[in-house]
Amino acid sequence: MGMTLREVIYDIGGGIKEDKEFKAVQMGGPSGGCIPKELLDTPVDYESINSTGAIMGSGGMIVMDETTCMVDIARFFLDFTCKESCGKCIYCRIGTQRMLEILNNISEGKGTIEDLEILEELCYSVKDGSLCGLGQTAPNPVLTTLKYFKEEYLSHINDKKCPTKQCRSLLYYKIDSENV
Amino acid sequence: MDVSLIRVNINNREIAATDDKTILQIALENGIDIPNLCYSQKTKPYGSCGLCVVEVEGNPKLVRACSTFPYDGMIIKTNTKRTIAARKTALELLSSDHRGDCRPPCVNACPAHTDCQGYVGLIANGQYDEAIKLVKRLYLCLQALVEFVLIPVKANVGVVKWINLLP
Repeated sequence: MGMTLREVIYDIGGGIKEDKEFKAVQMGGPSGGCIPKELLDTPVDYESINSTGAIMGSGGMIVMDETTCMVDIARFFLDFTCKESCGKCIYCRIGTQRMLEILNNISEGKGTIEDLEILEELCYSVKDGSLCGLGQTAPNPVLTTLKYFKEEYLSHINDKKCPTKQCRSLLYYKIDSENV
Repeated sequence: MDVSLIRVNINNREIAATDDKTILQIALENGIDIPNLCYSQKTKPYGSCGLCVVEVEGNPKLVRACSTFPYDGMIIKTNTKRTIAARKTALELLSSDHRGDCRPPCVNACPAHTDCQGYVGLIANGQYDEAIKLVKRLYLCLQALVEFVLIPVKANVGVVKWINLLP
């Protein structure tokens, strides 16, 4: 407690494998959020981690390098909470479902700019209206990636490209006839 | 539990109430309309639809009027921008999952496609003859129906009543 994220990841954890570039650290599991490179000097304590939009949770960290797609990460965690929703309240049961659909569309290159606005609006509604902790924290991965990695969402939507080449639907194979 | 008299403030109106009633019940009794969907007088509060959300001073969250009991001096606002937006979102989300094809779960689960909501309702009202008529409209062979339907029905109504009804 009190050490910075950088110290934990680089000094204790040994940094990123194969000298790749650090991209984000996910804290708090599916209810948590992604903390970007710029906030690596955040001390690991409840208040500081909460102020970034992530949560302390059980203190687990998932460190991600430049090859990780943040849209895909948000989709992965939301997929989990969506399935785990007990289905009692509308916000959580249907809200997370609709959010997941939007994220799926974005990662398949079918997203629009309006989708992004609806997604953010939905995040806040689900947070505000859900009865229990699952629904109240489920939008965290989406909100933090939207906050810190918006350009990645935009390149999925506008250029139909996944900068990290993780979203398979956005990959195209081309035969380079000149160099056969 | 002792019931005590309290004063609550709903939309700047001072209302005398008892603390054994929920915010929604007090509001409705005093002519203040709070939209609600899953609330029913016949059942315990469930709080799933999220339409009856209200703002309570000092509470950062939206609270569900149907399942919140008031305390003395509670200040409640029912029609703020935030509550209206939340209700709209809830209703939009709910309708996004329905395409006018809503059917009760028992109808969906019934392998014989009977109007089981209909006859269970009639049985509940004691209208046994009408219940039989409704069933017979679809199925002349009652024994087959009983084999088919009795298992899902068992959970809801007394099986004995059913068996007594058989010809």
